[in-house]
Amino acid sequence: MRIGLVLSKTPGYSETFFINKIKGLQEYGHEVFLFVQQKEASFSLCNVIVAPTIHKNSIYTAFSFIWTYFTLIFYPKPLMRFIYLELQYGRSIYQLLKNVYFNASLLKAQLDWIHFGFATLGLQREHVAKAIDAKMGLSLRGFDIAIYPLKHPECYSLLWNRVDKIHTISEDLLLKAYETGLPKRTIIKKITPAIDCLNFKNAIASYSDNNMPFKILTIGRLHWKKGYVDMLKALAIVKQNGLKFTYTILGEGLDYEKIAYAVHQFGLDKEVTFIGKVPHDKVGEYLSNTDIYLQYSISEGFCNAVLEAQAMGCLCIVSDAEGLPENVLHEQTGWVVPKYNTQKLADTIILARQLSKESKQQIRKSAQERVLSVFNLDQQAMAFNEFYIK
Amino acid sequence: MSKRLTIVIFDGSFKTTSFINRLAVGLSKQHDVYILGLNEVLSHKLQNVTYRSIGSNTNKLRFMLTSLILAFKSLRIPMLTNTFLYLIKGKRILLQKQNLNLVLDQLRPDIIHLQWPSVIPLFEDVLMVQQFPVVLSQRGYHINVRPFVNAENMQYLKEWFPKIAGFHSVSQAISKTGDMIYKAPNKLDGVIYTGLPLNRFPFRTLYKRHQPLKLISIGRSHWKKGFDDAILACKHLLDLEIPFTYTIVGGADDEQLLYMTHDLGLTGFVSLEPKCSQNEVYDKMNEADMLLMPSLEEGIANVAVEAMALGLPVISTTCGGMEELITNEETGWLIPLRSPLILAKAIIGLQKAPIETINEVRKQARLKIEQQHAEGLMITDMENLYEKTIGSFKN
Repeated sequence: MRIGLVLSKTPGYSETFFINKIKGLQEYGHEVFLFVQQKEASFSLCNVIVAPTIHKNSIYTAFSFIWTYFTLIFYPKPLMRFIYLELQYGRSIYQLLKNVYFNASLLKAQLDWIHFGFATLGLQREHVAKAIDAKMGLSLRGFDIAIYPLKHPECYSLLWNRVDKIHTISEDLLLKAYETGLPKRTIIKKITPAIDCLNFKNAIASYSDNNMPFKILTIGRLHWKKGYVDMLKALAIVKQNGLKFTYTILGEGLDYEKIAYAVHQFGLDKEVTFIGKVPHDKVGEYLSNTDIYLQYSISEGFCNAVLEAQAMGCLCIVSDAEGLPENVLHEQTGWVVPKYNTQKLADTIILARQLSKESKQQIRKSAQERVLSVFNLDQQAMAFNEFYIK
Repeated sequence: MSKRLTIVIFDGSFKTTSFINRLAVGLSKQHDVYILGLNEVLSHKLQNVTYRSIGSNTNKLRFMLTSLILAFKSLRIPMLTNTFLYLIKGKRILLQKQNLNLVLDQLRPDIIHLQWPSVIPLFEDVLMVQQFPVVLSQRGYHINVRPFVNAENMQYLKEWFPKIAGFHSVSQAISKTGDMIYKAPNKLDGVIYTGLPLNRFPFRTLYKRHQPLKLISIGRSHWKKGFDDAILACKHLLDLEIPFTYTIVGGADDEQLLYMTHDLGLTGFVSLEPKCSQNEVYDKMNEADMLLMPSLEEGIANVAVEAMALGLPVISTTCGGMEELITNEETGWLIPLRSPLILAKAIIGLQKAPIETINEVRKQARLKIEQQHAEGLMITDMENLYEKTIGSFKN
């Protein structure tokens, strides 16, 4: 099949979800085309088509408009169909002209499927698939479903009625999508993120003795969604309880000052280290030197880092945000602590720290086995293949 | 102060904060006050205050015109050549520095008052030459937060603070924090509190609690305001079935607050409103039962000063200089930082407190503002600081 995947930009090396998805589909013999607004020169996994855009120079934009419209003359059928569908829906002429321009590369494509990697990318593109006689798929991701509709109520009402099939990474995100108006009749397939098990087979983190400072790690953007301030608040309680630890944060982001100031106010300057962004191939080194992995997010689609931490044998403590309770099974493969409860989080960290060696080993083993058997790339690739062919 | 001074005030924009506006208007009664700026957009100019642009940040054509006019007026060929070269090469910052120096050459100010440490880079030449004394205001985020989370910024301030002739601190607390950046035996540092024209802040004589309680916060959408803690406090109120509504004026479009409001089931109880005019803010204050100040950092919060002047009870964290404004249970209510549960308890305490107790606190709060935050006092204190700074600069 010819599958067009729509993303805002070509995925970086660390964006394993899309990289793995493309590789998996190619292995099943599908031809994948990536439609983006921005292309990294180094990306060579599949064909990339860059969409027309607005340039800083308005004269250049004007020429781009003229050229794009001219080239569309050679694709009269999809163009006329798109215009018809847009007008039938009641789109204004101004918006229609914009939509034709921005969607020109999709309108010229010959595809069996158009798959929007994020729901927001499907906005103003609701009629493209039908215009080119393709099916429309769409992935539910954290921000698009949990946050964007709060700011833009009813934003997906047209999209939900045009999409053929939905991919969700967790049950909770699907429930949230239903809250935004997704009809219950829509065909859904749940495909969780997965990790490359070869990287983690026989992987064992080196653990600190109970009388040594224990090592805690979080990986993720420095963003309010990730709940760093709550984690620091809990760690301040842990410190007050006389436990010694180090806390390493891998990631960068706009909320650095907010988080760093919380470190300062909680008096955790000696315990906390900001490492910044680390290439994905180096993450394993940090995980292998970690006792407890924390992911106390306020909002989280699923979280690959938690899968990798479990595969590496770290004890994982996560919040109950969206997909996390499906990622970690409470008291079986780690701990799930309700959001906004920093005292409970602190208690759980202390509990995890003070567990017997045998109990810790049991949790680690269960987590590792579950991740490697349930969340592996082979199953994910098979599931995506089924998504398109069934 | 007897001598008429030429005072240059700079905060980067013509549209300055209400504190700077009040200061400029107050000083302009006795002195020549100039506001210099990069952003020239301004709907209402202050009376008796002169505005001078050093090159628009928003309009390329106006920036070019300002630069060329200033260079022509200087009647210096090298200056004109430089201007053309900078314009061709797109060296905006160098041109802004040149424009600033040309304007200062024309004005020959007795004192330059910088409102934020973030504007120091533009004034590096002025500080190096030490031709004019510079006073720097120590307020909020740029002193309390950034230097302590950004080592490069701390180093920069340590390098340039010794070249500042005088410091204005908005609270005792921030003065102490400023000393952690730079301290010297001859450091001139005056604590001058924000001042209000109290005749424009009539005290609400009749205070009546609403059912449900009407809670309000006012401030821009920024993490340092701690509004997320107030929303968590609201969740406690909801769980305890305390009837309330909570409005955050300025909180509209804040993604985190919006998400939390929805996630915690507070839709309909918490409302995130866009920022509005000052008069509208005062109207909202007069209709509310309590002002919540869950801030993580403040120099001294103007909004709390205004609320206390109007007779609105304030519950605030102990951040920054707030303890210089509020004495717990005398002029308001204080809670520890980042403590939503304690905030919820304080709200319930106020809900249950006899109205006489609240009225007594409101009365004492107004008195505190009259004694500590009168506009006249702010102007006199600032004049004294300028005088001392000019005196020590000459020596």
